[in-house]
Amino acid sequence: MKEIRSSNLTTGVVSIFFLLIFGYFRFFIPYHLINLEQNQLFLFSKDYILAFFDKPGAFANIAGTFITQFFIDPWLAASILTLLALGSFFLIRYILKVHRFKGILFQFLPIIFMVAVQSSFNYTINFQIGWILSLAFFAGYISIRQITLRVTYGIAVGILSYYAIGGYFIIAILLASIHELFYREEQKKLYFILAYLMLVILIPLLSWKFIYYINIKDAWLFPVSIGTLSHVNFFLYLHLLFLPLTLIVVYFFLRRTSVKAIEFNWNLKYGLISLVILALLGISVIKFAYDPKNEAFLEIDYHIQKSQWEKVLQLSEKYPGTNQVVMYYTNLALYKTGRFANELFNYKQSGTSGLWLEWKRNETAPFYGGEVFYQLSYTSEAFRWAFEAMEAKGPSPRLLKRLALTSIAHYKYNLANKYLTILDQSLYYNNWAKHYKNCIDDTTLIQQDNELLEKRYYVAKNDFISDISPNDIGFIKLLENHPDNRMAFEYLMASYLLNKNLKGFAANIYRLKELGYSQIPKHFEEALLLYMGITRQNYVPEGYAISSDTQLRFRDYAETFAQYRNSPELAAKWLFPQFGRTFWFYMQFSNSN
Amino acid sequence: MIKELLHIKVGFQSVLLGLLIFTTGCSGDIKNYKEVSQNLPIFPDYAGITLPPNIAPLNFTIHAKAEKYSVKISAEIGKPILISSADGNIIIPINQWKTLLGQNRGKSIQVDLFLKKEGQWLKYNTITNHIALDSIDPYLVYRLIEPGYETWNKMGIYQRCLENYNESPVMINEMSDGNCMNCHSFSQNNHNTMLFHVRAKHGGTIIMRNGKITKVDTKTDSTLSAGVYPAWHPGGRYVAFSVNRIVQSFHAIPDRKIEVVDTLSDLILYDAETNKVFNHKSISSANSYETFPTWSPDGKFLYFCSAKFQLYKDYQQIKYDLLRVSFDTATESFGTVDTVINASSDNYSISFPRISPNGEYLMYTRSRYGNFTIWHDDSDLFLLNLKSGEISKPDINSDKSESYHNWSSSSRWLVFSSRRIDGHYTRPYFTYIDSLGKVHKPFLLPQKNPEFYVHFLKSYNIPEMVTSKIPLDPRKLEKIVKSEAQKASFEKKL
Repeated sequence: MKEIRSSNLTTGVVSIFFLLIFGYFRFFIPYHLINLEQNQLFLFSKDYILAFFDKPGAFANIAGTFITQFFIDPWLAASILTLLALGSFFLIRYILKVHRFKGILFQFLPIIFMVAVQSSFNYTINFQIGWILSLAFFAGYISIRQITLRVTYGIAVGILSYYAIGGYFIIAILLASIHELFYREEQKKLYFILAYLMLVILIPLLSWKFIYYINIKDAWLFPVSIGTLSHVNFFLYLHLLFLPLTLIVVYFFLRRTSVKAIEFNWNLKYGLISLVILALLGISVIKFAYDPKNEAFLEIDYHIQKSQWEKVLQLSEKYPGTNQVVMYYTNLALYKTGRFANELFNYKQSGTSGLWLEWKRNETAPFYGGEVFYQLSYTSEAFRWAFEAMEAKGPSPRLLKRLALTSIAHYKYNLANKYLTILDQSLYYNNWAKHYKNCIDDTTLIQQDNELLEKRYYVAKNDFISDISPNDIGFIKLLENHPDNRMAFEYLMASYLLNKNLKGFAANIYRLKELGYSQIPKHFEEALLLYMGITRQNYVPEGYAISSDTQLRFRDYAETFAQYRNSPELAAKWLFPQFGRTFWFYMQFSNSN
Repeated sequence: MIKELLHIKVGFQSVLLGLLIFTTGCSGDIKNYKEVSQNLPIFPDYAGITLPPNIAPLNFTIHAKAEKYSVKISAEIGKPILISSADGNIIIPINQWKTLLGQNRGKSIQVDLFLKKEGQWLKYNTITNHIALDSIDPYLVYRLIEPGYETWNKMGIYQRCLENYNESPVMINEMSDGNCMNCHSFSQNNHNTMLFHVRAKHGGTIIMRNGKITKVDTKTDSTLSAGVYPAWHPGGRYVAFSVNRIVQSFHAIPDRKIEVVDTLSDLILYDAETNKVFNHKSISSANSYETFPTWSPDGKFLYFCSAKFQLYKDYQQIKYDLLRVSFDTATESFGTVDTVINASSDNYSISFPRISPNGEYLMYTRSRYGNFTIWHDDSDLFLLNLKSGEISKPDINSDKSESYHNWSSSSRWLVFSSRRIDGHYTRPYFTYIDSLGKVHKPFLLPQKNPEFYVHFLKSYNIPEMVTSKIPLDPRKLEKIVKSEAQKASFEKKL
């Protein structure tokens, strides 16, 4: 009866624990997981699969990439990761039990460490597969009692595991060696350990010499991600070393004491201690591994991809702190919701760095920075940034779709077909690819695609050279090509305002009329009033007037400012509540850098 | 190994099925086919070409919907090859192919195409190709890199056996901290005398002469840059390099993507025996841009491209002529400069001059302006007969860019880069130049998987044919690439 109650309790605790794990994946880092999917591409193609065999750990990498494609759905992602965690738990439980160590708390620990490292963007599912398979190897190993059979298994499967899981095979062999050294009595065990040591040295070395073209360090470590996980490296070390160290500690503990096994039976004291430790570890994961800012950013990025602009603005308002890409996305969403020229200064701004991203030869700038060019219908730059991102990060669904659409907009059907053919080999994007392949086969279908028609309409006819600088990304040239490119106009004007270039702003205000604005947008009115006050000249385009509301606000602003003329800090303090969201305040008090 | 086994299996199945269909007439009777007077579209376009007798099987895809596909490849001598396919991919068994080509050098080869539609076999127009007497150099060396703009990630210099599909890396940047590498070059198609540059981290030029490898830094205080575009003197001692200041910019219209412009350029000579760099006023004038050196096969003349200086904003006015200057290896002295082709007077620009090893022809690239022609769709190949001075535009060009090219050691084969498939990714094409100077229809480098090029996201950069396998691989090169480069000294020649 007592055993049944204990078993039920264990089942209950395990269930709650893994529900919490599921909750973490589903509700704390869903956009992190979606973003992982957006940065890979699994293809059902022989050549694609065979390319994994160029490096050790092919199976872990194939399986990991295969699984990651399902992260497109956050429920599926959380379910898969929880199942993998559950599988790891049972393997650890079995391994510890065989080594005479029973205690559910300790079986949870490596899972918690694993969840912590999964919070890092650089930790992909490939690594987890490698780790689980190394545990599975070891579980299989210790289940064999007969020594010859066990060592034969150790060597044969050990060698295979190198090619299947790469550097994780070292963990598998290390565990086997510890097991032999401390938990087996066979006389020849030192020879077996020596054989395992030789295996760990020779298999990567020979593979480096005769099979793989990789650097010597990678021959042992690939694809283990030691040292690349920044803030969660500590958890990674705990995660990888937990079992080897535990087995050694358990051995010495058992030797020093007379007990046959370490067991923790359910009682209030053990339950409370476990609960406290688990709670502390859970808090540690949230505090040290979970990155809420990054998650918030990735959520915004997700909604940008879905063109859910209102949602982007809602999230942007809640975003903790300042992030250049968030500012850049916010401004994009402001434009797409028609609120850009009226509400620009309602949101954090930092010069033009929030309008477009500076070109950098890295993985992030081209990946995120191309969006503004696509939305501007500056498709040659959108293609270029997507292409550069693909070079830096490898093919991904987002980039291939962008390359395909811009190529179709450019009438480059053969090139578009190339990218579509690749996407057609994926599970989740093949329908999308097929649709656009049909558009290429029957170009009349393009006439029904408003997005493509818009991009095609705005393609530059008169050439100019791209010049991405902090002042401009070619708005004037875009407007010369298409004076009706409203986004180019609003971004041009915003760039003048954010750079505090009122002369440039005033020189282009005449475009309001040809773009069909019924009235002057609020921030443009604010800038005009200020500039006209400075120059004593009228820049209001014919047929437009500055609203009385803006004129009244400007009078109030000027009067308040005049009161604190000699104390800018005090002036800013008094003006901010009422005028913090105006161009005037930005102009006078913001450091655009 | 795994990849090869899988492909062998696929090839074997295709042939077996082909035999069954042709001999027993199962799956409908192929012998009762109906003739259709129509050319079937195949990719790559391997119709009406001249091919080397030692080339790997020209696998292809039939671009037409059908229930089944059958192909019969036959020639005057030997057994025909029968292939069947369910998806239109025609994988030719390599041993039978080699036998057939070997038996029919100088003769024609016929490719009969059969499609089964609605239970009825249809025979389309036969493709007739010609097998040349002249073999092609067995190895092609190229750099594989995404045709990107500024970024790079993985790249490498590879060698591919043209007699089969084996490709192996000479050097890959994954083994040298992700740096850039470029401009591999050989002395007279010799696999034992080559160089390539390593850029950014571990920068320098890796030089192999008769198997001995060194790493040098050809940048001196008196030259614009380290050596860029190389040309080995036939003697294997000197290398002519351009030294350039290069600016890159990006166009807004889709038909023009990138502009790569020299704002300064000269030529230098590097002496690999003494690790010395020298130049001369005839090849490093302040008023003009000199670039793309190449040697006459006897080593007595250095040919190069030269354009008058222009401001960067007027880059479309930079037009290169083809010049040459004599060079005496005994005294390391230069003669006077001659103009070989005055392209600028016709409002054109020349780049990549390459002389056939027999000295008969010079192939070059012509475009409206500039020299970095891979990004110019109007760039085409032209042939100068060095004996008669006659210039012709061979019928091997497309409406997309044709650019880098080079000759085989026999002077009968030429490999060139073309973007004709999709306008973006560079692919290597081979063409045959017969004894009468006729340039034959080019063909694309064959691949085991005929759909390979559809999925492949890298460009073939600087294709060069060599007479044998280069005795280098990334493991052998890793240490030397990461080593300190020996600094070259400079000597000015008056």
